[in-house]
Amino acid sequence: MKRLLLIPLIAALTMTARAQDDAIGKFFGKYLDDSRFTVVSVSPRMFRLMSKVNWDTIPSDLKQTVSRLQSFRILSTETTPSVFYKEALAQIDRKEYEDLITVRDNKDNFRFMIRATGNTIHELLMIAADKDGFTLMSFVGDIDLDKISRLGADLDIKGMENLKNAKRK
Amino acid sequence: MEKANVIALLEKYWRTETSVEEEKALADWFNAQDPDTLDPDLQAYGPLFAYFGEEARVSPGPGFEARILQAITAADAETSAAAMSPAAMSPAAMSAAASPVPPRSPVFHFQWGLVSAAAAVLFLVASLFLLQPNQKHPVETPVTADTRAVAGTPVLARVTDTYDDPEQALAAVRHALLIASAHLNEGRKQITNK
Repeated sequence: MKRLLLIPLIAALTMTARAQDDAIGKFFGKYLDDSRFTVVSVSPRMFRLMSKVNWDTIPSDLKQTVSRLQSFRILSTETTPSVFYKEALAQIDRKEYEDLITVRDNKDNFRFMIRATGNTIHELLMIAADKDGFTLMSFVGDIDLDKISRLGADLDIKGMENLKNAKRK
Repeated sequence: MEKANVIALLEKYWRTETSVEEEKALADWFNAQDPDTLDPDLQAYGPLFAYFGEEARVSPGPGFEARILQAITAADAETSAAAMSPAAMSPAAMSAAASPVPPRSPVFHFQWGLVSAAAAVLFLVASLFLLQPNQKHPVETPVTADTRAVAGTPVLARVTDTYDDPEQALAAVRHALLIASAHLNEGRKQITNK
C-alpha cells in the first residue's frame, strides 16, 4: 500500500523538477531562436559526461564548482546592448531573483542576481552590457560564490579584458 | 382489538418496545383482517405482517444440509491445494473454485485492482496540473542532478548542447566561470572602495 502511494509522489516530484528552468529560459526563451543572438549552452547531460574528462590539470576549486553545476547557458548579442539590458532588468521576476552586485560606470554595466532558498544558491545570473554587446549568463546548480570568486582572484581587470577579447573572436 | 389499540401497539412496535406476545397479537390481528375492509389508516401494514408470516413458514428444501456440506468440502480442498502450490493455480482452477463458495483471494485481488486504478487516476489528474507551464510561480524545489537529468526542461526552453565534446563544454564553462568570477571580484572591489 505504501509503495503504491510512493509511486505518484515520486512522479509528482519529478514533474516539479521539470518545471525548473534558468532565467534565460524563463524570461528570454523567445530570443533563443532569434538570429541576432548567440546562444551557448551546456546541458545537464553534458555536465555528467564531463566526469569522463581528464581532470588532472584542472584546479580543485574549478573542479568542485563545475561538479556542482547542472546546466549553463549564455545568451549574447551585439545588437542594441543597452536596450536588452533594460529589458532584462524589467523582465526578471524580483520575487525570485535578488540582486547580488550591481556595477555601473562609464564603460561597464553589469549585475549579478541569485535565485536562492535559505542559504543555498540555485542559480547565479549575470547580466552585462557594454558598448560591444549584451550578455546574459546563467549557472544553475549548487552555487558556491566564494569558490567562484576565488577562481578569478589571480586575474586582474586587465586579464579579464583579455578574456573578453578572446571570447569575441 | 380496536383501531386505537392497534395504533398504540404499532407505535410501540416501531419503537421496538413490544414483547413477543404483543407482536404476535399484532400479527394475528392483521392476518385475521380482510385486506379490502381494513381501515385505510392501517391498510399499509397488512401486507407487511402477511409477509412476515409467510417468511416465517419457509423451511429448507430436501437435501439442503448435504448440499451445503458438499460445497464447503469442495471449497476447503481448493484453498488447501492453492496454498500448497500457488503456481499450479491456473485461471481455470480459479474460476472453478469460485463456483459454489467463492474463495477469498479473487475478492482480495479485485480490491487491489481498484486501489491501483484510483492511484492511476489520481496520478493522471495531478500530472495535468503539474505539467501546466507555470511561468510566474515556478515551484521552488531543490533539484538533484539526477531528477534534473531525467526531467529536462520545458520544450521551448530546453537546454540544448552547443558542444558535443565534454572537453570543449568544460572549457567553455571554465571560461565563463572565470569571466563571472572576475566580474564578481571587480564588483566587490568597487563596493569596498566606496
